[in-house]
Amino acid sequence: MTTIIHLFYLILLLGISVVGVYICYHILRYSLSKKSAFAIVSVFAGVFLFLLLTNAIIFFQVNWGILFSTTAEFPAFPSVSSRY
Amino acid sequence: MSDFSGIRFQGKHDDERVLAVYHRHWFDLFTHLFLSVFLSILLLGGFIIIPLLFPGIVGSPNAAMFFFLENSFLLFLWVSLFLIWIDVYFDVWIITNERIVNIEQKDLFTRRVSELRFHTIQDVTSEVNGFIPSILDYGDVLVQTAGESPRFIFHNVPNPIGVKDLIMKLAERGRHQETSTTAGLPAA
Repeated sequence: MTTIIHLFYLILLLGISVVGVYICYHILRYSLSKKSAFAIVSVFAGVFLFLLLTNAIIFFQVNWGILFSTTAEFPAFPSVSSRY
Repeated sequence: MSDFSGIRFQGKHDDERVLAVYHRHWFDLFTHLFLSVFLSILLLGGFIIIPLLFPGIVGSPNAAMFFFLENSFLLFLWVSLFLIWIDVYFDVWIITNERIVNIEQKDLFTRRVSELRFHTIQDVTSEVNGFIPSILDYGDVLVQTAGESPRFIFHNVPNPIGVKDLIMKLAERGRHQETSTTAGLPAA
């Protein structure tokens, strides 16, 4: 299960990275003023990279094994043997 | 008068001089960004309120999951803000001493560039519709050309009457120059 989640996350991370790169390319390519384009791209890319990096760090800190555990017990529903 | 000497765009002629550049009015951008701004306020509120309501969440094993979701939300919000900004801000109308250039950004992958020579302009209309556009002074400018070519529309630009006056003045000059050229006279 954890491997599948990691795989999905990597695909998502790759997708959003491509979108980020394309946004930078678009601003640099089509901006009317190159000076302001560089300023905007540096703001976007700085925040984007920071968020992307922290996102990846936090993702690998989450214990996905526990969150998606299928052997979890539910104390609210006692077993049949304990009732009788 | 603003300085447009640093303005560069595809197809700009060497001796072409940029007279004015128009983007959509800031309020138009704001209406497009409103949902994202609202969501970001909600997110910031969540950062502060959720740990106050559920103090156990910060120290629990699920804290990482909480911060991961918050961070992911912020990341998508940041990207979507820029996608909306590109869609709105990159719609641009450039008035030069030779022509009007309209660059229209449909989405991230669709971009349309069209141009209009001044001597083909027949009629220019400015339109301000609604309470907020009237107060903030923004609206559409519609340029009608000769022939079957579609109307040129400046969408939600600031000071539409000023834009209309500028185009009318340049159109008159363009027509005069065209008449002088066809008659073999030196241009004024």
